[in-house]
Amino acid sequence: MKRFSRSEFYLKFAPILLLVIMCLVMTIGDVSFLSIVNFETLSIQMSVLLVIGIGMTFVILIGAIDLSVGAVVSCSAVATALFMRHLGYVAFPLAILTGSAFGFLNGLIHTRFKIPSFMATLGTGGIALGIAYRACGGTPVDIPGTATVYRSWVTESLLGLPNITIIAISVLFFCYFLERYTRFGRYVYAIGGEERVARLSGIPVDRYKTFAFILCGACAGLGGALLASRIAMGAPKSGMPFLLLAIAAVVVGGTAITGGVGGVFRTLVGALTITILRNGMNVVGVYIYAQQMLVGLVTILAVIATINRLKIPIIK
Amino acid sequence: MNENQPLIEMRNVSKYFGGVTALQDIEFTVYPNEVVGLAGDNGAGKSTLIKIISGSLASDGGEIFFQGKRVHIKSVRDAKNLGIETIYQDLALIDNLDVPANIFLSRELMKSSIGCFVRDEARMAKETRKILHQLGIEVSSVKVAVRNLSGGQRQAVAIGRAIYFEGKLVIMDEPMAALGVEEKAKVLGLIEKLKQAGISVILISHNLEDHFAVCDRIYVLKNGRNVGMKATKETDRGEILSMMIGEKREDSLG
Repeated sequence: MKRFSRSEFYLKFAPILLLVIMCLVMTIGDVSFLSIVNFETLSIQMSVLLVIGIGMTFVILIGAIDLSVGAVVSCSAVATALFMRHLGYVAFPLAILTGSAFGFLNGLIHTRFKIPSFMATLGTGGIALGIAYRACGGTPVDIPGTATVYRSWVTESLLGLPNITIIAISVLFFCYFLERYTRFGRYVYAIGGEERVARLSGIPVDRYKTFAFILCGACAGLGGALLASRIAMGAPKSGMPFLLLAIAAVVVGGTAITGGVGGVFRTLVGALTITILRNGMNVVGVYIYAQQMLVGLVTILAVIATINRLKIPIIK
Repeated sequence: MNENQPLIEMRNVSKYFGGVTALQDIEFTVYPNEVVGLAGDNGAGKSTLIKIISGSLASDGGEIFFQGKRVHIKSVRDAKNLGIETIYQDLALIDNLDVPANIFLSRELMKSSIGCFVRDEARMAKETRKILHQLGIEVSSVKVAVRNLSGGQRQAVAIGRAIYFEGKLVIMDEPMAALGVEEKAKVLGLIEKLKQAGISVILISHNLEDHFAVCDRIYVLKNGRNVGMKATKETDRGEILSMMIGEKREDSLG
């Protein structure tokens, strides 16, 4: 018997192949793509997306979606900027807590009231965005020079590796640990695979779904804090692009939008692919709005490529 | 017919779905080391009854006693903690997970490693090979997703899950519905084995032949009510059938 069926094999390795091909194309197009400077730029650009995408991975694995992450990243970025002036480092745990709270709310609405996740998170996202705007009065909040010390640990580098990337990679390994070694990890796949059966087996499905949303919120919260630290500013719009980008990173990496198949390392591949794509479009000089269109297109193509249409009885 | 304490005893158990009465004043008893059949036409309430025992539905009235103690089975987990295992008609496997993951689902073996409480995959795989071997099923690798297994192998996974945790009562909901003659015989043999091991079995089947092959007693349900209970030795298919379709009402309860 084969370890993988053909579609599983293809889901696992096609994204890596795509990434390699893209790196080759970029190198042929512009030799400086391989330079250390560009590597640093790329890894910094990728880091925030990776953190947010990792959280999104778990929600997609359970067969749900979190449409609130863009707004939660914004809210957390604004909160980070506001708190950092007065509270210093405490701004970071507060930002993660803010994100987790929205995640908890998402999970609660989705499981208790049996609201489809896209609807629950769309609503929560509206609330988060409103709070972000209210908190900053509609204008971006600067992190003043006096508070630079609190954010420098994000912007500095260690042995040539940007700290922000080290943080993102740490989150990746922590979440890989959750995925591979804990009950939570197993149940995420079980729920995404067949929720009804997961329930029959005695898994407290609602509780674990809520955990997935909390983890996604926490990652979005951390992502917002990193974003604000990197650009020394918390803006209520700054997080919005990350909704599409995070979903794109997850599905381009080969995690099925229908749940049950995938993982955080695939999201690393997806985040790299999306980042290189954007980086490349900048180098080539693709108009910014056209870039947005292309990312949207790639996301849809990735979903088409990764789902097994034979197994989906109905589309809602 | 059996002098000792019932393993499970249901008294006046009822269940309503809105205005519809699914079960009305059901009396149902299983003794230790006994195979009890549940017969009845479609919609008679067989599935509802076993869902109440297995914890996926809550009853609306009546009492359940397990080994003499009053119990409230509110969830599948409660049932499993009592030692009630269920093998579902569709096997209730999660196709994208491998064999050990399915067998140990919701009851993963855990271990302490570098200060963390983690899944013990190696031990789960080892136990899985043992279980499958016991059931006489060969699988080249247990690390394969169960979607890639044959019908018989999937059946073994579902059965292995029920017996590994040393349940006291195994509910089999149409276990032979999708099986060929040979595999069917295997399942019937397994029920005998379970009985020999001191485990009680509740068997639901559309086919009275299955009931007569292995059951000690047969309960007949009709429209959500008990319409009869017979020791297999003292009845025949004709009598059970007539109870099912209600030609003559025979009540040997109480």
